[in-house]
Amino acid sequence: MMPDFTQTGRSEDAASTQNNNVPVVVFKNVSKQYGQISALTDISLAISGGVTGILGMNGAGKSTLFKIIMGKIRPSGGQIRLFGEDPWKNQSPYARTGFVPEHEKMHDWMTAIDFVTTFARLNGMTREEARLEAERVLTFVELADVMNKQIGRFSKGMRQRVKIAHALVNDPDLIVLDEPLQGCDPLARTSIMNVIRELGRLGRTVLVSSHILSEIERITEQIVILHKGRLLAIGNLHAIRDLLDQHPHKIAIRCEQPKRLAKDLIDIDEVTSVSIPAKDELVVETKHFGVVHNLLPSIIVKNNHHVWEIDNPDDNLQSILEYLTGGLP
Amino acid sequence: MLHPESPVTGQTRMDSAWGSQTGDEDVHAKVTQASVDAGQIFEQEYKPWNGTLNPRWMRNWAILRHHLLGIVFKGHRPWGVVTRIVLLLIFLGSLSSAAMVLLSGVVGDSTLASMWGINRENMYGHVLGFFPRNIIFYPIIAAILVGGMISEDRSNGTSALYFSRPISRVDYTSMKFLSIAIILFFVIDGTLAVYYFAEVLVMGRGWSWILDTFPMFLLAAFSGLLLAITYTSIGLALSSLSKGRFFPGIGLLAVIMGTKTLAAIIEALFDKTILYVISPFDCIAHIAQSLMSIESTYQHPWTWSLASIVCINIGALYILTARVSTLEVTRE
Amino acid sequence: MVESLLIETRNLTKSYGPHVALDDLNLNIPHGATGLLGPNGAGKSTFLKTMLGLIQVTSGEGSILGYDIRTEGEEIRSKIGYMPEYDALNPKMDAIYQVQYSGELLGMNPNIALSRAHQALEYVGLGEQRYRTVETFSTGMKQATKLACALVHDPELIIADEPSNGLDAKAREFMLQTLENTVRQGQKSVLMASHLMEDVERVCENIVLLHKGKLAAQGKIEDLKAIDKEVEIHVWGHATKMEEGLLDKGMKVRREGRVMRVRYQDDSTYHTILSTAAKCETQIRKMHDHEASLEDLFLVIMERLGYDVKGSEALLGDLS
Repeated sequence: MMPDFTQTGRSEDAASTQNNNVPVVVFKNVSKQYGQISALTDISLAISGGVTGILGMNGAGKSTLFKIIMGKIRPSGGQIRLFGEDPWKNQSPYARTGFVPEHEKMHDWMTAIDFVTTFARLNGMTREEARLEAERVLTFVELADVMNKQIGRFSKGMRQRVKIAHALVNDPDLIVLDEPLQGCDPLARTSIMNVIRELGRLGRTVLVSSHILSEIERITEQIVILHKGRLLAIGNLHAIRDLLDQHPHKIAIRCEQPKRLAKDLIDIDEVTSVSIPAKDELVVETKHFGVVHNLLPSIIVKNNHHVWEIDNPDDNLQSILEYLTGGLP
Repeated sequence: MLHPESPVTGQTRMDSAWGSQTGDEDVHAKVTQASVDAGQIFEQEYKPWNGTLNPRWMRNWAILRHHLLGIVFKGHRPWGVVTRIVLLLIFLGSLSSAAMVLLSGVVGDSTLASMWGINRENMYGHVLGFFPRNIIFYPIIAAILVGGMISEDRSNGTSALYFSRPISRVDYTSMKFLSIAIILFFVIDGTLAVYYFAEVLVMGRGWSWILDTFPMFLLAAFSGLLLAITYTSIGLALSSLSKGRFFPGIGLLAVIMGTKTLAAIIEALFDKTILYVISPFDCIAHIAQSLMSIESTYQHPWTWSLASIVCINIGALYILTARVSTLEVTRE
Repeated sequence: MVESLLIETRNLTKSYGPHVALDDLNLNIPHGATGLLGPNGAGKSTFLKTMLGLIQVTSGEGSILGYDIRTEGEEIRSKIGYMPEYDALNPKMDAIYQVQYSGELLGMNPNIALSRAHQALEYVGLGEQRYRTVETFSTGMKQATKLACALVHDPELIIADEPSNGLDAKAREFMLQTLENTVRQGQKSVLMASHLMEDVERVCENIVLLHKGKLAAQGKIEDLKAIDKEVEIHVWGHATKMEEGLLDKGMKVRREGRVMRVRYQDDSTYHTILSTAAKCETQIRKMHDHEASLEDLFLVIMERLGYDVKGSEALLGDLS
């Protein structure tokens, strides 16, 4: 995913949607006001290919963002492009998009296969095609064994998968999932995450929103962070972390003789501090994460340190969010 | 074959986040800035309890209290508003005989007094008069009371609450039975008592009058008790058969009215009263008639009605116990 | 000498006609927290009913808390708190009175039951909501109320049937934390039937796995987890080179992008990894022993038993 928002100007010409270089979703200075309340302020981003997690607490603007993408509401200001087209002028991008909204009424009395087949037929397929397509997507979400059972008897996780399956009819290039893991038990979560990752691997553009950090971390490293209607960060989470250089990175190492290792590490220019919180643990702080990590293996090996664990306690979404929202640098 | 205690070996699954594809790619990002938030604390402290638990009768008493007090007080079985209103109205309606006595005393009208005053026929009528008491008041009250009695525990799942505790099914059933029977008894015989004592007070009846009439009062009360018990048995049996609130009540009304109607039709057509043995109301009426030396409206001997009512009760209780013994505690 | 067991059964069998629901079970469950696992139809609910003294066993014997399940059902049920899986509350009653009633049904005095009800609801986090009717509660709150009903008399053993069923992440977290707390702080035993391995793993030290009425595994979780140990590493830069380097050194490696798992041979495995990384100029951003989860354990057991099971979702099993 290339967060390069200068591309927006070009896509205004009704360019062919076959153009592989056009980012799938582009926002340029998008804002949305509801009376006095600013749901989104000046959002600019470009997303293309793979899985992108849209992260933010409740009220951060995620659902507004999704509604704009899904064409349910118009932005108050700025522009949006899907596959290079303005979706309000030209509905064709939506033919290539599948939505999995947070709340959707499903017909409990229908079987999974009937539900998806009906949907496929509504999209213009013949009975035969619809049936085959329904089977394909239901197999993709691993519901092949139960496709002939009634939806009403499914667990929450299985219902979510049916929803995802029907959004995958016609093999869309953009799939948008709004809180797909909401209310699912851990097993359902794992299978839905697998489906999402698989879609990313196949080259589709997948947008997933959640307010649960650990879930997003398991699904993707590419994230968009929203907070109170503003865009805080966009990109690979490790790269984002790197950019927050006012907060030194921590590296935690568990080894037999931390003091000895500490002596070797403190000599590295880029290391700003070394502390020994426990008799077998060492914590290094540095503003040049990559550099120190580059040197680490050889230092350990050369001086024969016995290390069995290495960790980056603050190279995760939780920490990033805290640093970004938790106060002044 | 796996031996349960020996350790297991094998391999486990792997998965990783999207974006860490080949492990060799470059990664990019962009950042801006914003504001703050806050949190909460909750201390969870387990508190033990070393009290003793009371014996069986205490537990059963709790069940009875729960059902009876719930009619008036909060914190016990929540009877519906409609049920409570109907109960009140019918209770007040049953007091009509007492009201008439009061009225006659206040107005001083002797015809009123002789029409409504306490005597063998009127006491019989209070308990077993057909209209309005036994076509409207008592059957409807019974129907409403049995309404959700057992079916609610089925549909709410609260049977698990009872049976996972040292409450036996016998206890459960008898307490539910008692609670309904007590309320019915209160409505039928309680109002009878008010009626009787209204007469005593308003008409200034003396001890000799009381001595004369009290045996009749007791017999009428006994018939009322029989009525209460029988309606409760049938009603509860029906409540145990279904999961719904309405089926038991409607079923009870159907049984009471239906059997009577059928027997009445047969009587009209064939001039035989024998079929009245299937109607619980008529059986009890018949027994009361013979006990209280009131002219019998039935051709067949009262012992047949007695036998019938005993069988009806036994049959209903059998169904009830059979159904309650299969009430689920855990999921299946 | 022998510390008393929580639950002990010898040749416990229960059949319904030709169908054998519990087949010759020999269980030894110690005090503490135990997870009861198994697919639907495995016999979990039948087992719980026999433990509660509610159904007669066909043959064999068993005791729980030292009481014979065949003859001392009433005592057992006074000393156990049961938290059923499905709805078990009157929706129109206030939580506090519902819990009080459940205490009275045990034989507690009404006022003692009321004060215990307050304590129990406070404990499960419903202190502020106890005067609300159950029908206004979310699933998480209802589950908590059921737990409060089970705890009102401070029982020695709590039997929880799918306690985190249908709960969102926050409520689930709180429920598990409460159960953990009850075990550790309250020093109570818990028998938790669940198909959610993560939950069982969190709360319980032991498990009993039933399958088709038979005992498939029982014991302490950590004893059962002797799965081949692996060291998991997250690398950065030259991942492919790193993988090849490790393979050249004779290590067994599995890889998914930047994440690799190296089979642990002995303590020198870490050194091998780091020296290979130094040579390939790869960063090792994370390195730790990979701990197998209970889910993994379950899959392996089922495979060993000859069942082709894709995941423990099989425990939700039979939708017929």
